[in-house]
Amino acid sequence: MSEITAPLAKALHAILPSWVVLPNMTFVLPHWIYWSGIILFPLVAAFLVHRAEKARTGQRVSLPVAYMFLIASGFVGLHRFYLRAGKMAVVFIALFFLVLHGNDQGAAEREAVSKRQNDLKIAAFERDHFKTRAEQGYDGANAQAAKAEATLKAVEARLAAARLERAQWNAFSGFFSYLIFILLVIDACLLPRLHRACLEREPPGEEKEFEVMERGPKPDPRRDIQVPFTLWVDRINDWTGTYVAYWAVIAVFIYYYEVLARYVFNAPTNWAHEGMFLMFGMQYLLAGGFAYLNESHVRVDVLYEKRSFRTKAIIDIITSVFFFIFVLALFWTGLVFALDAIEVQETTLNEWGIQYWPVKLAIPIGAFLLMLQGIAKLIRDILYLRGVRATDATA
Amino acid sequence: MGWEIDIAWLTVLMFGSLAILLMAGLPLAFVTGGLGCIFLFLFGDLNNLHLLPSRIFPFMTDYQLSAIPLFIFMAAMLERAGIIEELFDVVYRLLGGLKGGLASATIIASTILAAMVGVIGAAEVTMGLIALPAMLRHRYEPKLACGSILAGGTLGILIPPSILAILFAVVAEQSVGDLFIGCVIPGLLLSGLFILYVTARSYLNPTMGPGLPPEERVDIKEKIRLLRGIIAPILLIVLVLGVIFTGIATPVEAAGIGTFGAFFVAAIHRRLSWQGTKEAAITTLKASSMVLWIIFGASVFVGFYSLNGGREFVAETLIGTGLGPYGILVIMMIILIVLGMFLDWVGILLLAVPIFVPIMLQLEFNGVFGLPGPTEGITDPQKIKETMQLWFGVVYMVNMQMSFLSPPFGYALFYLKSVAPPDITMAMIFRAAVPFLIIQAIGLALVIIFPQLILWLPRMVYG
Repeated sequence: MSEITAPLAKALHAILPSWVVLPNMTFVLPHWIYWSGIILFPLVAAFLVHRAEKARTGQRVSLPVAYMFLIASGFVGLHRFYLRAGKMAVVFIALFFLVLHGNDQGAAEREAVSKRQNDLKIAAFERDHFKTRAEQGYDGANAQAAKAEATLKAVEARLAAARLERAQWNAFSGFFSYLIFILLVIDACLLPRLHRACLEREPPGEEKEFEVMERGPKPDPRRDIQVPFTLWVDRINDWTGTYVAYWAVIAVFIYYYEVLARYVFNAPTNWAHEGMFLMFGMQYLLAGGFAYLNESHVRVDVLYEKRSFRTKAIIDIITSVFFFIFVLALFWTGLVFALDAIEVQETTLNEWGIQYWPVKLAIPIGAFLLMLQGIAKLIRDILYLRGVRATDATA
Repeated sequence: MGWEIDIAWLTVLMFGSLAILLMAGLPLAFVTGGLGCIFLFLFGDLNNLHLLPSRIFPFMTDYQLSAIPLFIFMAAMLERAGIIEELFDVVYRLLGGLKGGLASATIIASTILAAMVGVIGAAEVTMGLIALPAMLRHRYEPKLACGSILAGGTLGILIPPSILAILFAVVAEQSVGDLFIGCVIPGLLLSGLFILYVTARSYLNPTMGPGLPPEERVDIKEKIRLLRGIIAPILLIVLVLGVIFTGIATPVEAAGIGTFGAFFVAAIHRRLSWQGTKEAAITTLKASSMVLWIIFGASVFVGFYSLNGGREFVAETLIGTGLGPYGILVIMMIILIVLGMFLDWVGILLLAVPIFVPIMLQLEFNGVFGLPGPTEGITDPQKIKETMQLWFGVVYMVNMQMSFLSPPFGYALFYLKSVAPPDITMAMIFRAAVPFLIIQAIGLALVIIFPQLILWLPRMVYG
C-alpha cells in the first residue's frame, strides 16, 4: 500500500505548510478538574435524568446524542450511522484509515531516524578520532580520516532522507486529519437538517414497551418496617449509591479518550488509568451500604430461605454480631489508615501525583455507611420480633 | 489474645465456622470478613486488625479490576438495547428448520452473546424470557429447552471477555489477555458439545425438539437479509476482542471502548436514554460492589489463613496422599465442584485460588495416557511457570461453569426459575441441568487430558 501512498505523501509535504501535522494531544488533567469532575458529574447526570423522565424521551433520534457521537466518534462517521445517513460515513472511515496508515509509516520512519542519529554519532566519533591521530602525525591516518569523513557524509544524507520521509508521512496524516476535521465542521452545521430528515423517516409509531427484568430482592415484610432512623439510613444509602453509580459513565469516556490519544495521536496520558481505577476504588467502598440496602450481597440460602420470617429475624440478629465486628474493625482501622495519609497529605508516586488520601478515606466512610444499613436492619429485625408490622409503623 | 493452635485444628475451626455462618444466611462477604477479624484478634492481638486496610487497599487500587464494572456495564447497556432478543430472533429463524433448531439457536445466540458480555445473568434471564416460551410453544421437551438455556448462559463467564478471568488473573497475578485467549477454544468446545447433544437428542427422538413447521421457515434470500441484523453485535465482538488480542488496548480499555460501542448500539436501536443509562449504571454498581465486598472480606479470611501456614498445610496434606500430580489435580477439581454447589464463584475463587495455584506450580505434569503434558518441550523455567498458570487458570474456569448449574445453589438455576412460566418447577430445572453438567465434566476432562486445547491458541497469537 505504501508504494501508492508514498508519492502522495511526498506531494502533500511539498505543497502544504509545515503546521499541517497531527495536532499535539498531550494534555495533563489538572487535579482540581479531576476532583470537581467526579463530584459534579453525578449531579449534572441526575438533573438530566430528572428532566428526561419528565419528557419521556429516548425512543426517537435526538439531536444532542447526534452531536455527542459527532464529537466523540465523528472521525469514523458514527453520527451519520446514528442518523441513518451512513453513505457519507464510508468517506470518514476511509480517511481515518489513511490517517492510521500515515501514522504507521511515520512511526517506522521515526525509528529509522533515531537509528540514523545513532549511526551519525558513531561516524562523527570515528572521524574525530582519526583527525586527532592525523594531527599527531600517525601514518595513514589521513586516509582513514578522509574515509571516515565520507562515511559521515553518507550517514548524514541518510538521516536527512529519513527525516524528510518522516516529515512527508506527518504531512500525510496531518492533511487527512484536517480534512476529517473540516468535514466534521460541515457535518456539525448539517446535523440539524439530517436530524429532521431522520425524524420524518421514522414516524413516532406506538411506544414500544421495553422492560428489562430486574432481579430485585425477594419481598420481605421486615424490610417494609420504617421508623425515622431507618428511613433516613435508606435515603442516605440510596442517594450515595445512585451518586457513585454515575461514575461508571465517566470511565467509559475517559478510557475511550485514552486509547484514542495513544493509538491515533501517539500521546498516552499519565492520568487516565490512575484517575479511573482510584475512582472505581472509592465507588466499591461507598456502595457497600447501597448493595446491602438492595440485598445484593449474596447469601447461601440453602437452609436459610425455607425458614419463617420470625426465625430469620432471630438468626439475623445473632449473626449480625459478626457483621458488626467486621464493619467496626474496618471503620476503625480504615480511619487510622486514612488519618495517617491525611497527615502527610499523601499523593500517588506516579508522575500525575493525585491526592491519595481521599481514596483511603473512602474505607472508613464506606464502612460507616454499611454499618448504618446494618443498624437499620437490626432495628427492623427487633421491631419485627416485637410484633411491629409495616402498616403499624407507617401509621 | 495470642492463642496458639495447631494448623490442622485451625483449618477445621475456620472452615467449620465458615460453613455454619453461611448456612445461617449471613452474606458471604460479612461471614469471611467477620471471622477474619475474630481470628486475627484471637490468635494475635488488636494491632493485627490493622492488616485489614492494607489487604483491602491493593484491591481498591488495582488497575485490572476496573474492567469488572466496565464489562458489567457493557452487558447492562446491551441488555437495554435489546441485542439479546435480536440475536436469538435471527439465529432462531436461520436454524428453525432443523430438528432441535431452536435449542441449538439458543446455544449459538448465547455463545455469540458470551463474546460480548462477561457475566451470566443478562443472557440467562433474557433467554428465559424469550427463548423458553418460543420453545415451549413449538412443543419442545421442557427439560431440553431449559437445559439449553442454562448451559448456553453459563458460557458467558468462560468465553472472553469474562469477569471471572479478570478476577482470576488479579488474584493469581497473571496476564488477563493470556487467559482470555486460552478460554476461546474450551468455550467453543463446550458450546459445540452442547449443540451436538441437543441435536442428537432431537434427531433420535423428534418429539423432543421438532423442527419449525414449513410455513414458519424462511428462504435463503430472507436468511441473508436477516444476517444483516446481527452485523452490529458481530462488529462489537471484533472490536472488543480485536483490540485486546492485537495489543492495541488493555482489557480494561477494551471494556471502556466496548461500553462506548454498547452506547452506540443502543442509540441505533433508539434505546439510548438518560434513564436507561442510569438504570444500567445502578445494575452495574450492585453487581460490582457485591463482587468487590466478597473480595474484601475473603482476602482478610484467606490472608489470615495463609499467614498461619495454611497454604503449606494444604500442600503437604495433598502431596502426602501420595496420589501424584494428576491425582491431586482431580482432588482439587472435586473440591471445587463441591464448593460450587454451595458458594458462588467469587467466594470460591478467593478461598481456593490463592491456596491451589502455588501448589499447582510445585507439581510436574507430564501427561496422562501417554499424551504430552502441558509443559512438554519447554525448558525455560519462567515459560514453564507461565504455561502452568495459564493451563490451570483455564481448567479452573471450565470447572467453574459447573458451579452455576450444580444444585442446590447454582446461580443459573435461580435466574431461570425467576423468569420461567409457573408450570416449570424447580425440580424440573434441576433435572434439566444434569445432562449438561455431565457434558461440562466431559469438557473439563478433555482440557485436562489434552492441554493443547488451551495452550495452542495463545501460542499462535503470541508466538
